Amino acid sequence: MIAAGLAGYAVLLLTAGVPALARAAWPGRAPQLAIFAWLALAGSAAASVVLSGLALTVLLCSAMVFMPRSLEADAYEQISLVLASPLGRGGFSLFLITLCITCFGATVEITLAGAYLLAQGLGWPWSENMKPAKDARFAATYTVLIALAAVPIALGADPLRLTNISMVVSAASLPVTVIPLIVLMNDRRVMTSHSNGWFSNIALVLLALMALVLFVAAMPLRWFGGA
Amino acid sequence: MNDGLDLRHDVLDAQLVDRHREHIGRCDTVMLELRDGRPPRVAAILIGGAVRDERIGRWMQALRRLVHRGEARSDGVSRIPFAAVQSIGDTIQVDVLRDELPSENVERWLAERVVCHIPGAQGKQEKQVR
Repeated sequence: MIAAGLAGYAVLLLTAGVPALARAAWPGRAPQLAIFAWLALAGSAAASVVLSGLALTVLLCSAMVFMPRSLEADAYEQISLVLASPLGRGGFSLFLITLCITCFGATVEITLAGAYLLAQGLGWPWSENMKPAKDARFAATYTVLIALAAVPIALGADPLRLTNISMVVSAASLPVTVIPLIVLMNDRRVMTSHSNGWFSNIALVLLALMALVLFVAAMPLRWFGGA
Repeated sequence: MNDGLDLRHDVLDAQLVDRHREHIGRCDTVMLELRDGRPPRVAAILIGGAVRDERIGRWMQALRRLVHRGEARSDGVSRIPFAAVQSIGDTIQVDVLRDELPSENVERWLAERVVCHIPGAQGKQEKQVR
């Protein structure tokens, strides 16, 4: 859960997008831009507080359901108990709905992120608003990614184990994304007057360190935990 | 316009757009023309094909040799004369049309042969025009 909240490309989006916006949209309007950047940061901070609260609630609910029954949560099917045991049949339907929504959301997010990465890196046309015929390679990329993503499960991989591994990997990727960013954001030749001050640098380093600690903490969970 | 232009920083890898501001790839290589007794001149921008694969790395070149066996090195490469450059900024606008570029072959093939057969891939108005 913690690793999911720290997805590497969210950091990329927040920090890397701002100077590009500055040059494109508001040339010579640094103050407005700074306010916008801080609003975006405040928004994401509020969102992560809400998400952590939600994650904590889910964790507490699971503990309340699983511990009295002395169940080890070691299969995805058992998650349905968290809603089904206090709420009955209605809870089970609710669980199915949440499963569909979260799986759909995660699929859209990750396949689009992959397609954006390729399209922007190679300079293809890309947009969610374009008709796929206008950005065929972009549309084909996310379509193929959905099919590829189904392969490990079709080959019989354990979904819970797969989730744990991917969470650990995403926590591990954060320092790797942040370090080049710190170098880039401090390069006055590239960033001119928008380069990082001491406050932004400390924030970025703290973020990287936190991810590193989480990664180290998550490793034993991954090897000795439920899966 | 060329005052203080850093080819590696401002041109190489920059996003290229065509006459209608549609994305046509990134600048994969800049071709220089060497002239006797005078400074070299920027002759052309190359996009796509084998030129792009060289920029990505050896594994991509090996992949190309495997998939496109027996193809000439210039196949699928767009050669845009530097005189066609209209502006250099966040993107580089060049006076060409996306539909005429060899580097967009894959995009056209995918659009015409695959994506257009999927319901909803095209806008309604566009269908009537065609």
